[in-house]
Amino acid sequence: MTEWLTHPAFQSGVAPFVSASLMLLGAYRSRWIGLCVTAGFVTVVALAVGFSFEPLTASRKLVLLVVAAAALGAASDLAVKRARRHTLALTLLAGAGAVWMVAGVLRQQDAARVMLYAAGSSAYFIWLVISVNAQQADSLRAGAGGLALGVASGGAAILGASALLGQMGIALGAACTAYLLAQFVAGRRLACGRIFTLPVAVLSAAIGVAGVLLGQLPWYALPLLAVLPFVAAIPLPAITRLRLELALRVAMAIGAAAMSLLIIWRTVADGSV
Amino acid sequence: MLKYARLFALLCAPISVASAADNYTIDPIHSFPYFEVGHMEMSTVRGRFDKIAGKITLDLAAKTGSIDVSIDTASIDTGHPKGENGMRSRDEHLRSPDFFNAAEFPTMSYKSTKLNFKGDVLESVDGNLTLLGVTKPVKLTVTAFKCGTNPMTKKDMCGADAVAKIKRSDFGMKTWIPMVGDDITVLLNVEAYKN
Repeated sequence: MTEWLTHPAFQSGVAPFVSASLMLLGAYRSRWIGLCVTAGFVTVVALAVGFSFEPLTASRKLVLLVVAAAALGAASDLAVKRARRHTLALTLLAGAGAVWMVAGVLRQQDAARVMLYAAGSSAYFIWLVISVNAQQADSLRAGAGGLALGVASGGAAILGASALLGQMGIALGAACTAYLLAQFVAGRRLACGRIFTLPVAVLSAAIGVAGVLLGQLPWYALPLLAVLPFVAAIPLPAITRLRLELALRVAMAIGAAAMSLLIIWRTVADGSV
Repeated sequence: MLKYARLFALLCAPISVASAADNYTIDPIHSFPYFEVGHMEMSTVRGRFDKIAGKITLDLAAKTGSIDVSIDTASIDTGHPKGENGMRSRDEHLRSPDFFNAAEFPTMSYKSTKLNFKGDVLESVDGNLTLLGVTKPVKLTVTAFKCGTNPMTKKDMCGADAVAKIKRSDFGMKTWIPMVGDDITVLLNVEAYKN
């Protein structure tokens, strides 16, 4: 059993899938079902590195950001009235969170790079928060987008030399797979909301930014990853059968993620980075 | 008058003791920290850091001194510098946040707190290792120590070999334990020239 627990495939694939599934079962008819992503993420962190926050490195800040995103997402869903200012505040918080996460790297850089890295990191966070949150009312689009972002961000992080970030991305993919599978089995849409989309956006954004600034992921991997939420949300002809739509969205998401990874892998293999 | 002379002598005494200490600068091309770590609980992987800098102060008469060393974490070298087919190398992986997190922590350092002599020979060094922002006491056991004149350059120098055992998890480096071992053997060889 101990050998299983220390195996990266179990830590990032099987265990997050199981914990997300348990969350789905436990909160099946409630709005808290969206916490399945956070459950999967917390599981991979617990098994791979554990919870310690001293010193507060970028990868530890990443953990705090995702948990905070889940809490903010839940609070946002519970809010009676969603003002535009509310959305703006979440977006600005995401941008600020990006800079906070990479502050340790920024301290090592000259002023020009600090500006470049801070602006780039914030822009990527903000972009993903806006684009993933846009799918909060549609559990199939949001789930497929999360699956694509998880698999592609995780795979890209591994190509950028960090297996740990890769494990986190794959865990996101596993949790989203559990979420989509539950809808496939039940034959109905589950609750979604920002409690689901905000952690998806923040986790995948954090993995991408950390892969570039802490690992060796080429910067132009980020625009490739940034289009994935839109690919998963491409309007389909009127489909009444949920399972068919789900299968099509998953196929599009996996295809787009695979294409992104192929391009990143080829550029890394060519030695152009 | 005699009272003032005694007072002056008393005040000067610590200065004369301090001035007996010699300052040395580490020779980076003859000084390397090596490490050994278990891999898959089957074999041992060895590596080293190529860039080290630091100062050593030694007072052999008073049997005191200090060591202050800084190591460039990005200079890690395990003999696998470049990956193949788009996959990153082991050295690149070791620089990532999974292990040494070189982008966030470009250096690690060792500062001595006490040099322990046995007779005229340096036997061990008590000190603090700072790695990944975590500072822990680490004792270096000195296995060889000699001071003298370099026969080629005619400069005064000292050299030493030392060994230490640490657990990487103590410094927050927990990725892939136990497949990549937790127990690390550090082997240090240092040569330093008198300033």
